[in-house]
Amino acid sequence: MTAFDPQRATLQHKAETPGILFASCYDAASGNYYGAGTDGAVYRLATRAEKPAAEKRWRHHDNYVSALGWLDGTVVSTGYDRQLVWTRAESGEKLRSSEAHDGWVRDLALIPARGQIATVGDDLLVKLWDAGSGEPVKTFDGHAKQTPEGFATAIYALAASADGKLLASGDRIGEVCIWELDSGRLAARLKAPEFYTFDPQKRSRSIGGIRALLFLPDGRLAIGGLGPVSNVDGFVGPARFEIWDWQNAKMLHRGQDKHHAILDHLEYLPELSLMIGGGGGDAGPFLGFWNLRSEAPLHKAKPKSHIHHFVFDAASPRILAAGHAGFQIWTFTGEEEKKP
Amino acid sequence: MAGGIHYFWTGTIAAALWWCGSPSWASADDPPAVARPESLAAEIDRRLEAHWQAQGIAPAAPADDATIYRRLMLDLTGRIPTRVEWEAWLADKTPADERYRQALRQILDGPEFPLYWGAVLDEIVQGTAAGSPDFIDYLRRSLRERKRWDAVFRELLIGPWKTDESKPAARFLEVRAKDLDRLTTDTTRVFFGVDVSCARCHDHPLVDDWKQDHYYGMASFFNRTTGGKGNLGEKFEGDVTFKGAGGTQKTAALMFLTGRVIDEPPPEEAKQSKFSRREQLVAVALAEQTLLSRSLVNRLWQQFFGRGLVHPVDQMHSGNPSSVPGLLEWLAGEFAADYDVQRLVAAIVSTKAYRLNSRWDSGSPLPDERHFAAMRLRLLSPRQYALSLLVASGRTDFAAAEARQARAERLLGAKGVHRAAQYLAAEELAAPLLAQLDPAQDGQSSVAEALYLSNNSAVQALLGREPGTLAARLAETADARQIAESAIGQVYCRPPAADEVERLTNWLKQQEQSSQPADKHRICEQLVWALVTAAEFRFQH
Amino acid sequence: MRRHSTCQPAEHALHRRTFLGGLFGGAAATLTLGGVSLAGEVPAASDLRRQQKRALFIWLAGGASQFEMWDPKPGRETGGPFRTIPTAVSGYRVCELMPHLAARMNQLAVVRSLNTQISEHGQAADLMSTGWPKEPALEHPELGVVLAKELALEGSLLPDYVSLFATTEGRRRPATGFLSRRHSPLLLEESLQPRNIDLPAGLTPEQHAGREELRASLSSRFAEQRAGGELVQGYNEAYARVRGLMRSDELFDLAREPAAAKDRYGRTPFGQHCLLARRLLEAGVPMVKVARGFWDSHHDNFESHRELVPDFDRVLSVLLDDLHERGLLDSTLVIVLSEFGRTPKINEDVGRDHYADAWSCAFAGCGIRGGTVYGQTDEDGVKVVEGEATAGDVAATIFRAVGIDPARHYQVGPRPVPLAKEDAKPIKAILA
Repeated sequence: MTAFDPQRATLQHKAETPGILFASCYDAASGNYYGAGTDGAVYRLATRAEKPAAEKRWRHHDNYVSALGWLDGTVVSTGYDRQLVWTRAESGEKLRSSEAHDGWVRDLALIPARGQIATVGDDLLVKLWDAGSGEPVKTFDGHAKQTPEGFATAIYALAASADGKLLASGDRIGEVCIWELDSGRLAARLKAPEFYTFDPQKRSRSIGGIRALLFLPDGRLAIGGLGPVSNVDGFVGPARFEIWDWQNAKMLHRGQDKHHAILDHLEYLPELSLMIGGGGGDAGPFLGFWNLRSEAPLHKAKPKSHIHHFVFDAASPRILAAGHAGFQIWTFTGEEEKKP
Repeated sequence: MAGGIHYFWTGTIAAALWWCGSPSWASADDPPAVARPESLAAEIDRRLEAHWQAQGIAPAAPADDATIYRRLMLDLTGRIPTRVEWEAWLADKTPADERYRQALRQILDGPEFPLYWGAVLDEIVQGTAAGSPDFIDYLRRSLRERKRWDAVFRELLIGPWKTDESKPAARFLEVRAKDLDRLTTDTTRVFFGVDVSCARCHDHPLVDDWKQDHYYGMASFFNRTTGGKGNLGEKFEGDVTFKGAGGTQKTAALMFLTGRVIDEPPPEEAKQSKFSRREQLVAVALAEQTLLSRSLVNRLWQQFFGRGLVHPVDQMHSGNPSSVPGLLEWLAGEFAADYDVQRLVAAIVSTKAYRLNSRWDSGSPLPDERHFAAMRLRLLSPRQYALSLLVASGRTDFAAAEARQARAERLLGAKGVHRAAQYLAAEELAAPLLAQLDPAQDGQSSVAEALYLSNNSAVQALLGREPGTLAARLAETADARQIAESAIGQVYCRPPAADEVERLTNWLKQQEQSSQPADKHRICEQLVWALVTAAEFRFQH
Repeated sequence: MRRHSTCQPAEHALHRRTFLGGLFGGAAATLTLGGVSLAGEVPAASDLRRQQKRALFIWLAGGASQFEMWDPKPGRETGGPFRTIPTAVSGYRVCELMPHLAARMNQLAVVRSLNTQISEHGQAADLMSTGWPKEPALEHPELGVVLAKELALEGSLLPDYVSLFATTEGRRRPATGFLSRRHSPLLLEESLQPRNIDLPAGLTPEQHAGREELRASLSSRFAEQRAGGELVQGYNEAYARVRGLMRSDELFDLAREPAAAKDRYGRTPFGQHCLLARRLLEAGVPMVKVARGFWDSHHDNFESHRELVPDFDRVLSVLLDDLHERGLLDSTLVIVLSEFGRTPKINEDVGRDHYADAWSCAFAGCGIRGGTVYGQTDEDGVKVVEGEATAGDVAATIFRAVGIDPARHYQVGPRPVPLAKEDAKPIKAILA
């Protein structure tokens, strides 16, 4: 891929949608970027068009959409209405849907190598589905059902390894389960407690959780969220990710910034050894770029609004982001979109 | 300068050093702090006696010598006298009036009066915002320098706040600058003895004097004040508008409480001449004089008698006259001649009225407190109680400077540094107690204070036996009777009465018999506890 | 538990208990010190239960979201992701996070139409907890202080008011305002045991009583024929309550509750605090406040409310059941109030901010018509469209519910100050 300079990250274009987009997926062939969130509808942004607007395409969920996946002409979506829905992208036709969990569905991960989809929900289960038929394949149960203080917990993040052999799920209290998909075995359980803050003294409440997971090509695991929080009324802690040697339950590296924000999504560019994290919080929206050698980011950009999800489009290169109030397109040419 | 003078360089002495820069406490050349307050006192007494006569009241008898001295020390220095001090007072054979005059002068010229009264004035002026050490020290310096009250008033409201010493004076405005209602209300209550806050929404429902025009007129003096800590300023435009009777919108006139309206130049001119509304307030308040002087006189009267001549002290208006006709008006007029706080204090405490007994032996019913015909009990303030606990328990001895210290003070022209350092050290020791003790205002006692004194471990430790404390010294005394006499002397600052010695002796013996094995230290600690929590100690009387 | 940990062997503690007398003995307790009779007849617990009115003030500090509790707007952009569930009151639905309270809605009255305007924590807390807007020269007492003063039983050795605020953020001590400090609540902050109720180390109960006896008799003797001697009487009365409070240590000791009760309330702090509240109310403390902090969910509002509301729902439900089973609910007013609600707008960090223009509170028990839902907001929860109520109205409703005329007044200097603001009106629809 083309090398680029994170320092030149520029918000090149934005397209508004109502509410907040929590999820996105990208069709690299057409350049169409899909986003969905609070209103349950899926919006499309034709990113190769000149100054594209967000088009509302379909609404197959009657609650917040939490995750989207691009599956060869089909958009797979899930959300707080518990449904896992397959939709033909071109027509918006609902192909299939099934109730995936007893509770909100928080995330999905495509596992192309197995032709499967994984989901996590507020029943605190991890489920595997056949991507083609939509049939359930397997259920994994291993996360704590409550926080240590006895309150509701959730599994927020999922990631599959590229070879389709491993699935990682991360929860509110900072625990990650690594599942061997062939055997169904729980291969490892990691504790990354810095991502969860319970404040017994000032507010008797918690905040945090693992919000992003990612297998690096060499098998290491990246975990994202926010570090220790001083005021649990908000995301008042450092933007943070950790790189783990999960087999040996060892944290290898930490990327962090004093900018108070939660990282809702991570992408890693192995050719450039570059980690990109997006999110937002008390110090405002955040987009950070790290190498994996130092804790501090190489560069921080200030997005227009809280980024809840994004994809990296290597061809351009650019970042397509979804978040509060719609889509954002970030380029690295240093040029802003010309104002009409 | 350090090193050689041993006691000088304790932690608090450095804080006391600002005294050194000023003239010494009372070198022979200084004019006496209080020039002839006796004539003022005599006139106060004459007016009170006339009032009593008119009311058919015979006042209480004078209090005894020991009680008077304790009363005076508590009111002027915030603590009870030490045993050495009160015994010297009683032993002094100077004729009574002259002896009192000398003692008063010694206290007013000494270091403790401004130290204590700085804190007293802080509470009067700042109310709930009291407690800033810098502001208290500003008031202490002002008292020490005999700064006139009108000058303090001016410095609080318009500065200048240019030097490190004068900067803290801005605090009165700083903590209120963001809240026009509070600034308006507090200023009028504290300095003018008037609460107009009810007139914010409508003409005052209970007091004919106060109309909305007064409230918003007063607010107009402050509505251009800007900024906060460290950056107070004033704009040259902007008016206060309010919804008057019938819902009509009105623009407030720049009007003082007396109804006097200040003419204001047009905006352009105001800007050029830097027309300051706050300066106008100071000018009009000083020109009108009555409210400023009456408010402070009334508040000081309350300090010494437990209630104002006009009561409550922020309710001075035509419907709430002084309970002793003419007295406040006349005394305020005298005060306005020089705005000398020390002279006023000296005059009040020099009266016979201030020296009346709190005991009412006469067969007739006790006259209402508003006639000041007896000295009514007052709960000590937390500061008075805490400092006195330290003296009584022997934690603080306020011993005279040793020869070398006294010599060093003379050499440096800084007499009183030793005592000031003792006082500040005691103040630090007392600080943790203050929030636990009941404020004097409503005279009411809470169970929280009783629990704190009864059971809190820090309190028990404070009263406990350690070398030099009262409990330890009592425990070394063999004879129960002597223990009782000694304890009463140290705690109550007076010679013991026979029946109470009897009572305490019996109590001690009873305790000794009932505790197995007898622990004399513990018994003496409990004796001290009972004495310092008993009413005679907890109240000013 | 910190009790008797180092300085007091077990038998000593036992001895002490005997000395101080059992709290639940039910016998008339008379405490005579220094000639002043303080207690007189204390009615036995069962009599108390019949006669006495009580109040429990549950303070949701920081501002709970009406959308995620009492006034959901499902399907609206402002509504958030939670769905609604039916309640025992036909036609009224609440947020799905409150299934237990939904089933008990016939015991509750909900006011969905508060418009209290002030949306800054401190000022709003002052407003809601006193029922009065701030006045520069007059500090109003907190509602609990007034209730405690009015509902107190003469001669009770128990505290009139216990205020429990275990977390520190937004912690406020109920202000006695223009009322005497005598009405200050007993504060439970760092510990569920009141401060300074343990016998000082190394002192026997006899010594403790012996010195108090001396203190009281010296004081009474001193006060004879003094101008202001009545102040000493009040002073001695404060000390006379010390022993009663020290004896009440077992009242505050949750270890004395059966395990089943503790499990029923749950082991969360709020559960334990409400269990303690029930214990206090049952023993005859007329006024208890439990603060549950801190609801200020500027970010991640829904995750916060997933954590907070189910705990609140379960604990309050257990508490209502428990009070009912013990025959106390009819005489105990339960108040659920915050300083304000939260914004209809969901911000970019998925939070809700402060909002006082349209929000909710709830009541149950004494004087309350259960099953009433009063007032209404518009479809997005932005404005009150029916039954607008102010902080003063809430206060007036509270007073009326326990049978106190809100127009009664205290004389403060020259000014008669009514209990509830002059223009406040009790919300009659929710009153029995």
